[in-house]
Amino acid sequence: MKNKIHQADQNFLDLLQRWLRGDFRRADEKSVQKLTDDDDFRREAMQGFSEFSEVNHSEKLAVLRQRLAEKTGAAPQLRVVWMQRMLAAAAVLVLVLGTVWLFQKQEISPEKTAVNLPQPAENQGVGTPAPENSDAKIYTENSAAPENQGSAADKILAEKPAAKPTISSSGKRDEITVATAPQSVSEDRPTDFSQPKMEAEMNEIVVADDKISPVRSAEVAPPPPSFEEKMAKENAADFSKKKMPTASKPANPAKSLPAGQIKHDTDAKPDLGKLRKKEEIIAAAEPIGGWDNFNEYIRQNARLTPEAAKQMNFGLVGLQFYPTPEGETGSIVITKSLGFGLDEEAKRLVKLFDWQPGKNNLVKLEIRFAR
Amino acid sequence: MLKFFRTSRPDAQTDEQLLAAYLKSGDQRHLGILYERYMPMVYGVCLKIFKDVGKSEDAVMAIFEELTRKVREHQIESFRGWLYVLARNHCLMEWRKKQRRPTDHLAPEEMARFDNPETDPEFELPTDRPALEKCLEKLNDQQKTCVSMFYYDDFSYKEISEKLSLDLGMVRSFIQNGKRNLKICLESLK
Repeated sequence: MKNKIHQADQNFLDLLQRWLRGDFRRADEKSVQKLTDDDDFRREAMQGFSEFSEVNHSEKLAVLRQRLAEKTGAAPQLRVVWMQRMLAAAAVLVLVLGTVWLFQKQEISPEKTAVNLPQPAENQGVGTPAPENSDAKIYTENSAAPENQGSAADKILAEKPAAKPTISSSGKRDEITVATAPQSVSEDRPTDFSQPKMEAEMNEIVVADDKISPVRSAEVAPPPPSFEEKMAKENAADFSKKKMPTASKPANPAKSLPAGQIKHDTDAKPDLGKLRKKEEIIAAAEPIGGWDNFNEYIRQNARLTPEAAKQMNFGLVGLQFYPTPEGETGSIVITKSLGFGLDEEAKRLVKLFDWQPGKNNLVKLEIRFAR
Repeated sequence: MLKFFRTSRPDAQTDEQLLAAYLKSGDQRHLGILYERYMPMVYGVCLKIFKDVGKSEDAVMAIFEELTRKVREHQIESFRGWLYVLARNHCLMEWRKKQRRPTDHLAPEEMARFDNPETDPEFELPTDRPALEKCLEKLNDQQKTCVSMFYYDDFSYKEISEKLSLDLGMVRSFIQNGKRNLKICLESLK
């Protein structure tokens, strides 16, 4: 019995949707009639909709659904949890694979650890050093940087100690630059997903949530690169040029790079894109140029018409709309009418502005008209 | 992980299951899903009572708030019926609050207005063709066109709006009003 009632409601809601969409025929009207005849809830609902048959209720219902989801935290929360889980799973997988791979290699040939570092990078499809180059690396790194071996052996995840020695060795500069690039990449990889770094990533996301643009979080990031840049400049002036991109890649993907690193940067870019998108979704809808700007514009331009001025000193027109992705207002609904053609004037003024849609995409306004 | 999969398909649950899940866990998402099912209908009821789009929208959200408060205080057997009463009472209370000051003495009439809603008798095109033709002629042009396209040619609202290049809402409104006028006219002829 309960099921039956539920089914009837479902049919009614389907028909209602068709009525709202316009996909509604004579036969549908008969079904609606039948469904509304035997139930008060459905009948009153349909009567309500019929009284406003010219309004586009589908949009209103969509906004209401959105508001409800925000209130209960339904949709967004689920998505975040899902993303966090994915990220955690990926991090664990990469970490486990990386450590297993490195420990195996270490057991087989302990003195060649430095060589092994670039290789995982190759497997992950990040760095693309040519085979002859990796041969060269073996010599330079083994001969020039013995501390490097130690630091890499006891903690592969430590970034800077590993990077420094290779910079200071100025014996065969050309090969070294090639070697440092994929090496630091390979070290970045595991640390990217290791626990502390991930927390840092989360913090970045939180920062973006708080409406601080990702650009600003990028500004925070550079200090280590600039430090390394200095180191590199001390050693060799031309070297710094090539060192910069590898160090600053998460923050500054725009720099021109050697072939090997471009791939990595395409990896880094989606991250930034994700952050930016997130911020866009989270912000509340607003006029492009800001509210102050908009209010000033209204103060300047919202004037009572002569007929209206005879009746009142000032008046408010309430309206609401939801900005489209193109920055337009879409259809504007007047929630508080004033007459004297001021409703249309309010619509016109609002339409002249460009609007930035947001997650909370309902813009409710009261336009104040003065003499 | 398991919990995640379980919460991802709550659409299959019945009203009562969702309600029980909410009462047990206090997770507003359950109640949200439940409310969303009936939201268009609640919105329709609000529209009928307030006769105002903006107020109805606000009322739909306010009713949800009230729902979260009251759902624990009552023993609910049929959520749907209970929600209907809750929504209706909420709207009537709000409506009266706004009306009281200027028109306090009208209270009994207000009650009559809502408690005896005139039933919408099934509208069928009468077999009395001449009378109908007569009444159709009395409608204004747009109503006439829309009504006859809908009832005689069996077009959908959308098709009519495309053929006449009219706004969809206007078409709905013309048919609605045309129908009402027809009914009044036919009754007067009897």
